[in-house]
Amino acid sequence: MNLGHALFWGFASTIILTTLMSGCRGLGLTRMDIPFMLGAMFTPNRDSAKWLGILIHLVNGWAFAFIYIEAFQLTGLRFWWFGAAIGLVHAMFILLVGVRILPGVHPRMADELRGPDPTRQLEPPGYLALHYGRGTPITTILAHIVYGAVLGLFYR
Amino acid sequence: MSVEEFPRISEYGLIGDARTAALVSRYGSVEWCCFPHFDSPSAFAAILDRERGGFFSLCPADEFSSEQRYIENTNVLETTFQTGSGRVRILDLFSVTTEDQKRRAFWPDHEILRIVEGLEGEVRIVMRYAPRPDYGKNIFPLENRGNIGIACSCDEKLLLLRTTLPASSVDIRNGLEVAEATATFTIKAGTQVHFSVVYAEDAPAVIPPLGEPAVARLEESIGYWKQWMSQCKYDGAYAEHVRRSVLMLKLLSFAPSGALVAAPTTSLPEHIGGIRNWDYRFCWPRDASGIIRTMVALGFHDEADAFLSWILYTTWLTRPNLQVLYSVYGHTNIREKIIDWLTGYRSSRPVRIGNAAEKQFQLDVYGEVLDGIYSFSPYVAKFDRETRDFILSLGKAICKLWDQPDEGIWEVRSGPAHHTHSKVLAWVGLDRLIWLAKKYSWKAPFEQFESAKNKIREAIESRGFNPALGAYTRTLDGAELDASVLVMPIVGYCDASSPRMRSTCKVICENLSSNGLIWRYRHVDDGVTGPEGSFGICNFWMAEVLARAGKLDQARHYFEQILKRENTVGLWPEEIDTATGEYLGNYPQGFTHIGLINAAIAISKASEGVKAA
Repeated sequence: MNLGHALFWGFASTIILTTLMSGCRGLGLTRMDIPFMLGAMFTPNRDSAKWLGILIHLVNGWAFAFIYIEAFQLTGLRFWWFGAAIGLVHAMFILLVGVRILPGVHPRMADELRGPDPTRQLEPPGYLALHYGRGTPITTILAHIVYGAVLGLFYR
Repeated sequence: MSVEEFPRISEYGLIGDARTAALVSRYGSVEWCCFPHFDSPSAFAAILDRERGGFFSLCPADEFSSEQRYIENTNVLETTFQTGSGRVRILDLFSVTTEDQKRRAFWPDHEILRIVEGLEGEVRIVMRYAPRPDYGKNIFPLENRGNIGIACSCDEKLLLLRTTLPASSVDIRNGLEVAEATATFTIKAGTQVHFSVVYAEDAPAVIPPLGEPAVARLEESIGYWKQWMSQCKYDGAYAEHVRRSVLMLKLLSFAPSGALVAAPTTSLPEHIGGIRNWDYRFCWPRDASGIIRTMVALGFHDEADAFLSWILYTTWLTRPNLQVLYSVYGHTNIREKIIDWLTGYRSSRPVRIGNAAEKQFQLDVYGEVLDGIYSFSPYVAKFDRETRDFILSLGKAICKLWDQPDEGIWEVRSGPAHHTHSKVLAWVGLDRLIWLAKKYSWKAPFEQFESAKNKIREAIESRGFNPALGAYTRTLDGAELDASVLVMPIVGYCDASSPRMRSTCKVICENLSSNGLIWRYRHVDDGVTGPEGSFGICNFWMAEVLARAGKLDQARHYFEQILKRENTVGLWPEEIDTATGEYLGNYPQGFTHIGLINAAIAISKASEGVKAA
């Protein structure tokens, strides 16, 4: 493994992914804010949650980059399209499994069956995170495909 | 009354779990319920179609009289039947408990619990269970699963009926036109029969036991509601009505997101047989001001906080603009469709789902939201940067949009106009924003906000008041009356005792009221044909304005004129027929209950000699 490449392109692709997701929020395509959701696990302060969440998200992105790179090495397929394919699987896992179990492990997220107690917490993402807007699945998938493609294209 | 006849709208009580709700008639029939959320397809909709809608009826086999009420300080509904042979009651509820309790033991996703209890003698009861998922579009057969219950499956969704009756006593008929379970049983004084309908869709259903555990769930639910109501700090005038109203508002809340739907029903007509049939199972940010003000005044801070959070964070998809309505999860694409296979309530077609008002521009929404934020601000030490930017962007939007025509509070379909009420709320929005910006030391374009605010007031005073009529008018430069201008002193735009406001109240009383009830407007082309009833909240606005003006007797008069039409369970619709007192429109309606609470508080303050601020 080329550690320098792994660290650099893992960081770069995470930055691109985060920027893409944030851009989609700004365009009104989704309300999903993964860094904020991660940060809110540790603090109820929205401002603090955002910067803390970005740090956690960057570390996560780095960690996942090593899994992608391991897959490149095991298969010998160091191509952008293979990275994009892993990104697609990654996104589907997040949408189909990750966000579904999140209300159970997130200390500040309501679940779908909450009530009548009111929530002062984050609303649950729902199936495919559709509660955060109908554009959420497609933006999440595209962002992760780009993440994988960047790694596949540049990691050597 | 047979299942084939439509009860009056006023003959229903509401039960719910703050995610969905059901209407239960005083004839013992569940005739409206959507699963899993308010705006999901219905499973029971006999209120919109006696044949195809679906229902769950428990009713004496012999002639009876019945009455309905709530167990005090709860949302547990009690329907008592008197027959020649005895007396029996049915307790209807959604079983509810705290989140802590749900973590300790399995609790059904949604459960309608129905407990039939003999009080005197013995009564023969007929049970008819005919669920019709997906708005009754198709028939889904019932399947007897023995001890598990009677299942009705629609795709991956499951409705399961369980009962303490012996399985052999329940007949199931399935066919092209029918899927119904029936049973006839006799209940004696001191005995109970239990029925439970549970709904599940994306996990195996939790099957709640009946018998003693069901009684425990009833007690748990009663305890939950009483505990919740113990937060209510109101003991002023009309306290009983206020308490019922706040319990009803709680049933309209959607706990997972903090939203609050306008009403749990669709297409209950504003005129029997007419076409004014709309879907209200969505959330109007307009209601923010009233809901937050009401909840804060009564001591329900958590609910006010949850609703404000919903407003602030679900509007992301449309920022900086605010849409007229959103789904409970903030979805924006709520297309209006017609369900042409349902007859509608007493042939009032069409039955609509979705709401085309979603695409309208209603300027007042900005002011209502800012007023809501202002009302909750005493409990917020600091807004985060993103929220602060959003709040400031609302002010900028008002500055940009205030001189544009809009569809207004009544969501008219005749095209945009310069509605006076909308301009007033635009003024309110800037007024509150300037106050908020000063309180939180925000850098804000104060000059721009002040300038726009002054221009709006000038436009209202020079063009929104018609001297010949002696009243503020529906539109700028207009000559039509509109009861929505009654909110002007309520939102702090002017004093209720000001000459113009006094005159406006007098003219509205003279021209927009009949039998003590007030219409929102009359003889106005709102783009929809057909008559409608008086508007419930208008009476309460009038009562509140008069109370603020110190005219306590008149305030009580308008409050009590509408109270005369109250049903036995204390719930209010959107509209009331001025001639017959019949309830019209979606039911129960949060807006009307908010009006009731605020008017009662104003009368109470006035009674104490404290002029409402």
